[in-house]
Amino acid sequence: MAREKFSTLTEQMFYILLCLREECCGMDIMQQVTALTDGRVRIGPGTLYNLLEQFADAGMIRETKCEGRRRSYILTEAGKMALENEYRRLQRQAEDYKRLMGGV
Amino acid sequence: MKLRIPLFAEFYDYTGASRRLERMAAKGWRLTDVGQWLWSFEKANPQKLHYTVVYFPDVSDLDPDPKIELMDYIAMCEAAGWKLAAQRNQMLIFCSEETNPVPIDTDPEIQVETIHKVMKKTHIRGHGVMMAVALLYLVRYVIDLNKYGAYFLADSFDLYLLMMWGMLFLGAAAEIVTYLLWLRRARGAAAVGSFVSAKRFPVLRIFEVSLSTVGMLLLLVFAADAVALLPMLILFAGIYLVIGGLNWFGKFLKKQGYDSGSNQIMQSGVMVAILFVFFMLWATKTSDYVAEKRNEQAAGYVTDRYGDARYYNDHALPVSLDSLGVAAGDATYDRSLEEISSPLMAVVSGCDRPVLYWEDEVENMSALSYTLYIAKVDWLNQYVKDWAMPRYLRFASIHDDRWQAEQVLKHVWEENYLVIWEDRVMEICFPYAPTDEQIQLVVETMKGGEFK
Repeated sequence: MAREKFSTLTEQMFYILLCLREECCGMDIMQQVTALTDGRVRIGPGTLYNLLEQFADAGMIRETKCEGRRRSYILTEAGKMALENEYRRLQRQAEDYKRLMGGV
Repeated sequence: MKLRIPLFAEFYDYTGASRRLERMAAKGWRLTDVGQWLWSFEKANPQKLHYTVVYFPDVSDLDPDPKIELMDYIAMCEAAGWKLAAQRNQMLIFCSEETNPVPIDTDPEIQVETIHKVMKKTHIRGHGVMMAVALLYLVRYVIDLNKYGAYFLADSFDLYLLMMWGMLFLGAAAEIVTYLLWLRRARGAAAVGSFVSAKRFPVLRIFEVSLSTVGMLLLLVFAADAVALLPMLILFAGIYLVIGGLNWFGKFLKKQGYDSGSNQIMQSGVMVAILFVFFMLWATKTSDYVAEKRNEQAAGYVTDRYGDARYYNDHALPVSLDSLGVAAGDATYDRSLEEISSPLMAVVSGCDRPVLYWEDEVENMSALSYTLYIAKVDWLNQYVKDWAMPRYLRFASIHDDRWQAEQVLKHVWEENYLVIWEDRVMEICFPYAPTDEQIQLVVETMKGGEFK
């Protein structure tokens, strides 16, 4: 059974939302994420397009401007909340790991 | 220099299609267009390119203008180094010259659900309709088989259609089943972040194309007799013209600015109307044409009491009133021998009787008729017997060794006999009780002889 939508975020979802903490053009997100993660996380343009649509439909981001084919977005409060929740979930996971694995 | 070939890949086999395109590019062929059956290439320098196939729902070749969403999607892919090489409806094929381009789809869950969305709207719906239509025809042919039995099995055209509809049904079912099996695997893999490519069944594709091509040739060569050949050619040509005309009509509507939904509805309506009228006309004209041709081959005609021409033949009959030593009446006789035959069964019908046999003045004249059902394969022998016997009401079993048969039945008051031999069944209607010599002649001719 697939997770409830956006109850947890994949890495790609997480970094897209992180990039949109400030107004950002959709096309620039791909390079930003690669740079942020030193190439560890790569987001394909097709996946990015679909996720931006889904985030917009879920009210987590909103479009700020459109210049030709370049559309810019920014996080909404709902998006910030989702990001915050994911951060806290990952934090708890890390703490559980430290506690059980001896704090490596 | 151009090349057009079938790619033999499932619609959702994005990996197989991509690899094939990359191999073609390495050999110096670059994709330019994707048609319904053939993919077009042009000659270019051999090059190592990356191809990827993606799916974009809610677009169609019938859209009068490219949708804004599609243009945004293409622009985003271009920003990542992918150029659109070709598009067919919801399938987009991109190409990249970069050494290690970022794949267009990096989230397997999104990719699988996008593919499923497209498949539900297109192929699954189409295959579902095909299965439903094929099933209706199969039910109809099973009813015909039950009703007409040996006649159905002796008709190559009907057998061909039964086989064709059966293969269409199974083919459509196989497409849906293989897709659903892939979908289940793909969703399972996507849940753990993996991609799963579709299994390739090129044999299935080659078989489908071969079946329709070879099947049509076989039908024209073996199934159609000389009289029916022209109407069948007209039927096939008409179907192809309608399909081609619809394609043109769709493009015309697209240029007029109709959206894809309205376009498809109008095409469907026009197709139903044209096919309905075409088949009505074809059926009527074919019936008239075949009757006319058959009449041209007739020996002559007589005019009945209503002034209508009744045609008659003068075929060489294996058994006739003359060969039985029975005097014919003073009237024009129709001596017809008809045979329908398939690889499974043959039905031979002969009659030697007055043309106007229903009219009072010839009612008591001598007449002979017979029908011979010959199973050409052993496993149909019992079927013929089981099918034939219940059809003959008012027949009772008799003991008569003269017929050298497994079983003989006789009509309760007429000189009509149903003779069951090992590999064939014969119904014969004598004008009078047959003599030993007459029965012997019939047995020698019908049980063996030229009808072996």
